[in-house]
Amino acid sequence: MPLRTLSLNLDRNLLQTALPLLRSGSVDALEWSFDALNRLPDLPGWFGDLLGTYAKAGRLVGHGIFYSVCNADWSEEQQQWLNRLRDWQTCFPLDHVTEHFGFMTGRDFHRGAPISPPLSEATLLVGQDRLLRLQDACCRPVGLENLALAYRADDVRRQGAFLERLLEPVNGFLLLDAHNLYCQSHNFGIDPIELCRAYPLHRVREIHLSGGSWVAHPEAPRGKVRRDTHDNRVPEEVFRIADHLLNNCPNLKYTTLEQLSPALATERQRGGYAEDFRRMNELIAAVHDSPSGLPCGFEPPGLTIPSTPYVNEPLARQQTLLNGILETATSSTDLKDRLSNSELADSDWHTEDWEEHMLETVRLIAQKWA
Amino acid sequence: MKLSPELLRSVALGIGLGISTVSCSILKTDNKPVAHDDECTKEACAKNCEKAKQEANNWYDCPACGMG
Repeated sequence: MPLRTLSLNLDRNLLQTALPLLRSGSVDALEWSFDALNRLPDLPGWFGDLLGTYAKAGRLVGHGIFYSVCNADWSEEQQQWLNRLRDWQTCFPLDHVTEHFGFMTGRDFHRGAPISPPLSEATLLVGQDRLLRLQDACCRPVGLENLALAYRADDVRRQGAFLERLLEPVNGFLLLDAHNLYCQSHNFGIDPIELCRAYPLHRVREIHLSGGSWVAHPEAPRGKVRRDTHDNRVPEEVFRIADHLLNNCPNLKYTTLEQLSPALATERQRGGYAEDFRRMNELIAAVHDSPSGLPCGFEPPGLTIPSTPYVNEPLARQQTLLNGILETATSSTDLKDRLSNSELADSDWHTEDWEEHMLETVRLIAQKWA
Repeated sequence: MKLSPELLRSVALGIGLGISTVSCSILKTDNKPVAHDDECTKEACAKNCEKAKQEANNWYDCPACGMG
């Protein structure tokens, strides 16, 4: 039966919300974003004890944010990130480590958001190299989370198969985020269960459940874009997707509830979170164990990493160019014009096919953190 | 997973003694929570709630805390 897991960080609202659930004994595992603390020199002892308790039981997993798996250049910050992961792994052994599929926008290492790279051979080589280094740093199974943001329906349909190609050399796994699937399902008019089937479900080791929000856009389906903002209750549709995944992912080990801390400030909000956790647990309890026995562990194959990180200069140049355009475009029309007159036109990025409502969405995301 | 009473007490005490509202130093901490339904959009909320008035660079787009 999958483990009932909470996404938990050093945060008052989140911890206050989680405390009654921790007291009840119903939290089997914790997921921790270890790199969100890169400006905090020391953990409080009590928080370290909490992490340590779960780590000792083999029930602590790491969920990174800032590694930027598909960044085609290699930065000193990425090497430092790996070095810090080695340190964290010594203090709080993580059962596995996940990161987001994509590369980061923004000026410096801590600012920006993950956006989708082209699903190309160049991206594949970059991503495989970064995953190898990630695995070398933590010496545990490594996985990638599917991205909510996409530019066109073809990319949405291809993301699952592409992620499998990325993960295969390192025997990696998928962290399948049910709300991200819901976002793509709505934003591109694709049935969510059909979307699930486009993913290699045998590679899923963890799933996420969370909520989000709507942003109005006249070109979007039903006049609104679904955003993965983690600031609301888990929608019914996401529970439906999660139920499908729970019963079709034979190697699933962790089922994780996520919510953003500032959206847990009131008793009403915390009550909603507890109810979502209870509902998630009901779905887990109803899962029929896989007849094939113990799930696959996705253990590292023990590969030797090249001494020099792989760099793809043309792709790196294109990523920098795209970031610059996204961060300075004054409107989606301006964005479209500048993309069509840039090196990105008629390339693996397929910018000419980007949906109008997603052009505006990615522009707004990039500019928030420019 | 059962946690020891001592650990749970130390966690409760640690929360009570005051940690930052959010773990990320780049986030604002003065955003008021808003009750609104799932159909609410920032641009056209029928209830004219606070979410429709929130400024850019709000916490709920911070990759440190919500961009899965």
